[in-house]
Amino acid sequence: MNTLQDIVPLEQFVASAKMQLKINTTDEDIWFGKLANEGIGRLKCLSLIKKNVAEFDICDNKIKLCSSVLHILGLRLGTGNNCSTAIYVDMPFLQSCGCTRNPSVFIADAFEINDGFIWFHGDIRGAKKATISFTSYKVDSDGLKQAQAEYESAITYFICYHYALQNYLLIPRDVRAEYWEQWLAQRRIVINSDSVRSFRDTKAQIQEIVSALIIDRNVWLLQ
Amino acid sequence: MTLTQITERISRIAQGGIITDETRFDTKFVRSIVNTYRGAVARIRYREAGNVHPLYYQKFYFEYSKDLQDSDCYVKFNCPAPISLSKETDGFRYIGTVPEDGTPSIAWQRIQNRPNLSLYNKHKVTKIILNRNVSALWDASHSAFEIYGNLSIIEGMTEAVFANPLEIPTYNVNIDNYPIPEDDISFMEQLIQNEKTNIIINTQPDLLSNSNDLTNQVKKAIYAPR
Repeated sequence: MNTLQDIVPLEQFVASAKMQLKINTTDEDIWFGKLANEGIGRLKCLSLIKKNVAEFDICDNKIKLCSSVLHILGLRLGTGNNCSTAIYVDMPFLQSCGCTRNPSVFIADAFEINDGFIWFHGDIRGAKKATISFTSYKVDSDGLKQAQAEYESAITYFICYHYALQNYLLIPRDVRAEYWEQWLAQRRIVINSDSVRSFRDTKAQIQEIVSALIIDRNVWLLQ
Repeated sequence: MTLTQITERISRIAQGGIITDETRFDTKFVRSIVNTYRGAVARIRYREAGNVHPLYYQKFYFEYSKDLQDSDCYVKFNCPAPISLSKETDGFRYIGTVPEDGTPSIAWQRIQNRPNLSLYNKHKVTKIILNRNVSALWDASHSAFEIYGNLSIIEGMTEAVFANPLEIPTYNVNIDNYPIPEDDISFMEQLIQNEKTNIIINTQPDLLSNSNDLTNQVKKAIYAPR
């Protein structure tokens, strides 16, 4: 995605919610930070996900994945010029029919993902590191989610709703309901504008793909 | 209006406008009443409006003392106790860095109580937020702040509605105005009169220390038919 995005820290959403609720102390800061992190996850926008490439250590034929990893795109065993490609193989499925005859190529550089770990089936030839390409949420150096400044309104109403829920004696029910409605409305706006932006950014690529499918208007495909 | 002026007003009102050597209202006694009822007025105003007038707040600057430090987990600073504005809120409004030239005020995160500190450390996200910023926990039993997150902190500041304004080192009782707005002073005086001074004035003192309560006898002696 090549759109310029103003990524802001979690503290900005917390400050925005405190201004909305007229809270001038820091008593709720930690809780609001947790809510902001949760709210960003609830938006479920493509623009909150990015592709990463990172080196992981291999220990006992397995790699511990960080919690923000969403989807593994590719894995290379080893580093620098001395590396090989590993592939994902669902061994329990392949062997579930009773077939135990597996080509050596399947086992040598195959891996599985289970319970937050990557497991290697065969001999990885003493490789100590692996380079993994994966998608994850945009996070800061501490692992907390990040979002664009334009999502501030949605996250603010999310935090306000939960504050109103906890302080139900102070905040009237109709205000609480309004916070929830605003959160849903802003979330819809965010998701829709995100989809439009995503389409606009990849429009050229989509056009190329569609153009490649069209051979010739005069060619009858059934002939 | 200074505290001296306020205590004199309250003493005079209760005694018909004059004060003599035989006044029953000791200065320290009246001051303690004024401090208590200032807190009561602040609580009433907070309940009405959700906030109190800025004149109630005072600044207290932390002073680092090596003898006070008793743990490697936090830095400890003594601090006078605040009043309680409501069941959930105490009088602290700001705890953080001292504003200096070119450096804005940075408020530290407030941890409401020790069980919450333990709770935050059990949750993955709140633990990260807690540990990456400076946090302050008020230890009421020792009247001190525990500052977590940065062991090199040696100064700080708090703005609060303190229970006893006289405990603040920068407050001069003879020169500085008492931390209460002028329009709340009359309300405070009214409360004190209704609940304290009128009762005191109408109660005969037991002036003779002989283990006998002579208040009724003095009353009888005064009001006995001739």
